[in-house]
Amino acid sequence: MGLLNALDNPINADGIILGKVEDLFNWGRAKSNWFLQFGLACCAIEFMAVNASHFDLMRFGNIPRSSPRQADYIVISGTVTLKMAERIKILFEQIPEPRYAISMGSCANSGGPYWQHGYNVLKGIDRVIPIDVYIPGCPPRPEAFEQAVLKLQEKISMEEIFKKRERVAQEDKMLESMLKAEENNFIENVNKHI
Amino acid sequence: MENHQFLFNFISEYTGDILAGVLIAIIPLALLLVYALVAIYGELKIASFIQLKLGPMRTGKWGLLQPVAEVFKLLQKEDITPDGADKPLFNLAPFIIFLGCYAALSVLPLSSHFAPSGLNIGLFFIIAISSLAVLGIVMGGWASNNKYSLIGAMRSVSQIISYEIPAAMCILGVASMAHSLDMNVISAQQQGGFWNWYVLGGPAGISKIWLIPFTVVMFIVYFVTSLAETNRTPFDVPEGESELVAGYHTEYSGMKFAFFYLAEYGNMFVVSAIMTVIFFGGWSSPFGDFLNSPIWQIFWFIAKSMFFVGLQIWLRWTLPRTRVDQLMYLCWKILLPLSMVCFLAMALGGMLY
Amino acid sequence: MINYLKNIIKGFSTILVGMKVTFINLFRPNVTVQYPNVHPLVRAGSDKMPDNARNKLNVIIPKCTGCKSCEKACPVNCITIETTKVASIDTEKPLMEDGKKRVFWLSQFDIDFAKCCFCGLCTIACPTSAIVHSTDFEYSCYDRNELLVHFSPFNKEQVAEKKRILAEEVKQKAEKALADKQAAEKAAQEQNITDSKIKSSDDQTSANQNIQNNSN
Repeated sequence: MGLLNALDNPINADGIILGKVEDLFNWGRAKSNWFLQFGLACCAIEFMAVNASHFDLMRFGNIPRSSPRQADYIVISGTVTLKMAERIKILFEQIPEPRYAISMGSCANSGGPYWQHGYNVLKGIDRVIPIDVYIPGCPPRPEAFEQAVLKLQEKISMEEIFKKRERVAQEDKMLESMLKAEENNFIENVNKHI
Repeated sequence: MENHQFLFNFISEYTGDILAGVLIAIIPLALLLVYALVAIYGELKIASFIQLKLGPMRTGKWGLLQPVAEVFKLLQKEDITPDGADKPLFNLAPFIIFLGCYAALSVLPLSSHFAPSGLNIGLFFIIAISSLAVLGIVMGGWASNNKYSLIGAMRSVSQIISYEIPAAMCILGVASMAHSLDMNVISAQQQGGFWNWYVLGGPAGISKIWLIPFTVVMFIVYFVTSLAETNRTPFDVPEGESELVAGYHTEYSGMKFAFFYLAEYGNMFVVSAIMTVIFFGGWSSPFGDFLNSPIWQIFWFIAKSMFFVGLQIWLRWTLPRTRVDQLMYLCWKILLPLSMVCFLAMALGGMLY
Repeated sequence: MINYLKNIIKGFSTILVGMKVTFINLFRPNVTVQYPNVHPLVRAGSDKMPDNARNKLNVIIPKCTGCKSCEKACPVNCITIETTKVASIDTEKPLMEDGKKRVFWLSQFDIDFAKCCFCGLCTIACPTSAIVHSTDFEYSCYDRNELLVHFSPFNKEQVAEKKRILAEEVKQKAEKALADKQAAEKAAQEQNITDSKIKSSDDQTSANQNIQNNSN
């Protein structure tokens, strides 16, 4: 992820400075979410209402981008047919990391009214791309969408950048020492029996 | 070894000059970056207020930190270079576009005592250097290996090259009246109140009255061409979302896209500053000698330029996008003849006064 | 030529008209309702949503009879109901909200809000209006399984307990029935013996014999 790779040093990553840097980066990512202009079905109508004057998604720092390369998250708003699922996958893969996805409405969540007999409908978008927030509703209220955006921001601001790498490194170390201890035990046992 | 010695001597001899050059180069850069933050925030807010909504509200007080958050976000985004792209060209294009607007900033006289570079052919330099943006755009569009990018780049190139002709006519008209291409000299000529601005006929006393309609039309022509040269609405066909995904910067992500973004706003400032210099008195105060000290001149210059940036933003959220053929019709059949006529009148004015 | 100039002037003046409109709008008060600060429920002035608002479904378990009308009415089959009969030997004597005796335990009442299309047909079908649209719409979640909501008040052990009690009762009933049957058979056998005794004694009247047969 660009700059992050340069800072990726789990050994020296201790203390308050990196924590604050992490907070700052998370704040930046949480507060500036550009979304891909992308609508599938009737939920997209509600999505338009969210962007319009009465609800005003821009208050949360969410600005529409037309190119997936410049977007941060994608909103799956509506029924995902099997044919469209391939396109959605391509679009999601074109979004640069770190990327997020919101599943809006019952159809995207699980196939909705078509979950039983819809031969051409994907039964849940999470079979194709990883989803961060699910919004129930058919379609959801605009306020429900705004709540989902707030939840997404909450999730992003809780994310670990440096600590995660540190933690993973520690876990690796612990695993290694455990394996070594087991090995030593085994060897001791074998020695005893011999 | 001798070469090294030469280099060492050179550096030790000119240390002061190099340091001064770097310092002077940093000032317009800092100005540009701060201005970009303000302009992005202003654009979001003005767009929202025109639509009766609020715009960014939850990032700091009144959303004031929204552009800062965007900078931190864009820093972290993955930097994608597509597989089929022409990688050197692809990676170079945003910087060339940015270079265009940054170099243009180097000749703008912020005050009578400060211009980063006191070039005596400043206007000519700006006409030349603003063509660099075309190069960057066509490089980016071609190297992306994306048909939308290519179409967007082609549209942009045809548009900018077409509109450069009326723009050059406007600049030439003012230059023929001022008998100079030095932006500092042109600004200095317009001192002594707004009556002496070239948009109102220049500093030639009461007999210039017949010239005023021509200069006003010339200003309008230049304003329209400046919109087209910066790819702003209503002339943003190169990045029309409805037809081309995002035009020539479809494939750019992260910081490279941020450079496109920065260059767009920087170009807005540059054309506004040119407009200020050639029509609205540059750094000179609109009220004669009132508040005309060199420090206040910086304020006047930036205030006037920001006014035109605001005008561009206002116009963007008013008008829909034009069609490509309408765009070309406007350029070749309306703006060019008008600017020719006005240029003749202004050249006559330049001969008389 | 005149048309050309007219065209230019018209184009320019219409742009000015548009700019005037946007400039007036620039200073008009905005219409935005700031959602997390101004909640729609607060805005309405009471605990009310707009008419026909289709939010999360709520099941009022004390009202529910377990008739499964909603399950049948659901067009997308997102409601799953399982009922267990209330055993008469159960120490717990449940009552409905209106004071009547409960017939079924609701051992399972699940609504999958990931599938629900919020059409409201179940609320119409319900005879006791136990399933209603609530005013809650803020239940977005990070995991889809959270959208499968269990409305039954019982957990698995309690359901197993109730089922065991019911089975016990059924068993007891069966035993009782068996005992009754055996008793009846015994009685019948005894009757037959007495009959044969009577026949052998030859002392009974025909009327008495008829009554005995009827009772058997």
